[in-house]
Amino acid sequence: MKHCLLKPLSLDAWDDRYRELVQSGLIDPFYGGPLSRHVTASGDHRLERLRFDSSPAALRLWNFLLTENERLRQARAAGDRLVGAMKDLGTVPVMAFALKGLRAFYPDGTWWTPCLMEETDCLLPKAEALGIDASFCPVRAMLAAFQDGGHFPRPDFLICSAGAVCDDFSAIAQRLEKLGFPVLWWEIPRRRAPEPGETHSVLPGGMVTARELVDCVREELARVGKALAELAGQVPSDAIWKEGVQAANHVRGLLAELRRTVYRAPVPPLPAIEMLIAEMLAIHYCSDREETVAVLTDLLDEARRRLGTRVGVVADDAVRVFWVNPVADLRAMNLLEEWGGCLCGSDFMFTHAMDFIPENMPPLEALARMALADPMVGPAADRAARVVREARAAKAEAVVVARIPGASHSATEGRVILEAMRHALGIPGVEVEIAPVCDAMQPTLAGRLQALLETARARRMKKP
Amino acid sequence: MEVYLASPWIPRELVEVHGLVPRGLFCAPAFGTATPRMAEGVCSFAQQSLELARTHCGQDNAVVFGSSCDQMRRGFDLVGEPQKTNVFLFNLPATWQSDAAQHLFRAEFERFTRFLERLGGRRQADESAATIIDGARDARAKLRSLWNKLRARGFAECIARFHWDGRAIVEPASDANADAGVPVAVVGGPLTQAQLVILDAIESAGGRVALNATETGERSLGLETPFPGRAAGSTGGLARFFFSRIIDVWQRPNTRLYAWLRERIEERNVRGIVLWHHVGCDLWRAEAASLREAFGLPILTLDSEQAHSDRPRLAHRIAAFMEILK
Ligand code: SF4
Ligand code: SF4
Repeated sequence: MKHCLLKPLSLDAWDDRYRELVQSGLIDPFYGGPLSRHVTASGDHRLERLRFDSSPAALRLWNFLLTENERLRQARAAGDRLVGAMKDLGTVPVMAFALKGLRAFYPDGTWWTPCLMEETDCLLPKAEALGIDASFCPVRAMLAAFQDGGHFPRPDFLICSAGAVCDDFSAIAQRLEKLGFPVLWWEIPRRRAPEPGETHSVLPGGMVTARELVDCVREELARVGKALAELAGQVPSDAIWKEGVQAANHVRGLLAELRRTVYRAPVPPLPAIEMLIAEMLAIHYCSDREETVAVLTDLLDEARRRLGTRVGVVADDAVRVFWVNPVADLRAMNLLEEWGGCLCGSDFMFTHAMDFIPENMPPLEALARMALADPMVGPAADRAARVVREARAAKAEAVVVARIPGASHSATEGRVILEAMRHALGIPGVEVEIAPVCDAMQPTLAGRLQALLETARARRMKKP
Repeated sequence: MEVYLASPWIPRELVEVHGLVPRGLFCAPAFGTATPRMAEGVCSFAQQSLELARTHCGQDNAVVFGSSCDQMRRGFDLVGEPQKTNVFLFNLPATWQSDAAQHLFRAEFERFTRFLERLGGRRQADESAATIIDGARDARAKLRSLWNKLRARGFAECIARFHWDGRAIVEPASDANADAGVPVAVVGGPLTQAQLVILDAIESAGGRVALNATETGERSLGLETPFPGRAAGSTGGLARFFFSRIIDVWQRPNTRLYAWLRERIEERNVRGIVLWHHVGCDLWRAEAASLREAFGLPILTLDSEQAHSDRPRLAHRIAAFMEILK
């Protein structure tokens, strides 16, 4: 039996739907409202070009995402201290949220602001004026946002991982410090396999690394924890970090279930773009841990309901695509579906933020292991191995590696991942560069993605 | 066996102490003569290091990369598949103020020692080891003292020779006029042998390289740190000694680099800075604005692509910069 196809909505259509929902008794959370207000109030013009899922759960997700800066300001006004975590994507916030009165966010998230505002905010040219030009990845927008202060509130404390991190971020964060924003740096060493006879530790996600690296990171996290606790006026303790780990695992558990439900379904019940955003909630709970749980629960309920009633968001014959790296322009996720693909799995560069954090060991030890499982701190081959494993489980028919303009890792890692996929699974893949506003390159993108989807379809025919 | 080191911060003395021959890959005479075929975004220096590393690995020598930038780490991934026994990535901590960073460096130092032993190296007796380490320290000190006694190219070649074969040979006669020309600092990434023409161009245009702070210049000799006697027998002491001499752009924070530059820029009355970076090197490229703000001096940014493809234009830009400084 075919699935019932649910069409996505444009921003205008969402306003009509919003009115209907309100009339029929929708109870909005405190950050709720019609989506179009983000265009008028915040200048998020890209929303006018995006297509959205029509569920109240998706509405809540988008509103949650798009009100983050506003909610941070409210939190500060209510007395919370704001921690700007940088680069580690998923470790420091687990600790910060465990301390009463602290709230962590990633200024790195400004990565998407040029896309959302269709560059009307001029953050990229402003970053260039500060010495960081287009040879760096879009995260350079963060630098200008710090300087102009018009986006996120200035954090009370900045923490950044250093060592095995991309050159782009390392250079930009250093520039930021020189501009007068003090940073607490902590070391994340490059992950390596243990040598014969060397003591080792197993990391979330199954990788194994040398024990001494875990010791190093644990020591560093203890230093970070001490500084965070000082900011919160508390004494750091394992009990505090344990609570943080358990709460993080609650979120990760929900997300894991959502991913399983959506990605393993024969026809996905939620669209790619909403899945990308839902996954992003794992890294710092979009500045509100409790609300993240509510948002993910709603999405999971919606996905299950649709699965039960055979409702899908793409055609039954959509090509199952495994996607690697976040897209600088969110519209690319819409385009994948418009052109006949669907998302069946992802590695948006923070898989470690979705892995379960071990609870059967001291919390800082567990967090250190989690931090070292970051796909970006080890060899591209490790990342490729995980992509292969997950793509196989998801029955992927094709893989897309999104190349991030200017990113130091993008020069070589795409080739390694695509080669591993071809070798292990024999499925076609493509690497495509996606700019923060990809309209101008849409014909090229269409050519490459559509050719990929066609190739994947042709392989179906050949199979007995 | 020769052990090629891709960074000046990997202790070459330790290689020698194990009876092997250390070679600074970054000073290889072959560097920069080949036309790099670069994938977009790849640092031209890392790319060439990779190619040289492949050649040397194929000749049964060993290659050691430093983990200091993404480009080098990923370069190592492409050469150093797990089964290869003659390739090593030395984990150089980016942070340097914490105990964890010190511990990490020491652990790497010990792992590097095991690597050298796997290659067939045998640690010499403490007395001989101390002689090697002290000898290298003295050679570095001697080279440092030459900054105003030689022409820019001659000084750079002496340093390159030291990294290549450990010798600190200096021509007896001084050939520099310490008062002639506008004093400038050349700051940045590695300046390979083939790229020394930049130093010549500065001098031809009426400048004087009062500070060569590139990765192959005076900076690569490291910080002169107090070293309590002959500590060759103490692994901890040695590791601390090697770790504390690093001065580089990738350190976090990189205040050590700025403090080292400030001392020399002020002492040597530097009037302008030439920032040299390889195409694809984010770490140095990002420093232009910070250098300008920190020292309040005019900056000329030169990259390896310009040096490679358009020499007349490069010379013209350098001459125009010198005119401004005059
Ligand atoms: S997108 Fe890549 S280059 Fe940019 S900050 Fe993230 S990891 Fe670094
Ligand atoms: S020049 Fe820059 S990018 Fe290239 S290897 Fe050196 S630090 Fe890395």
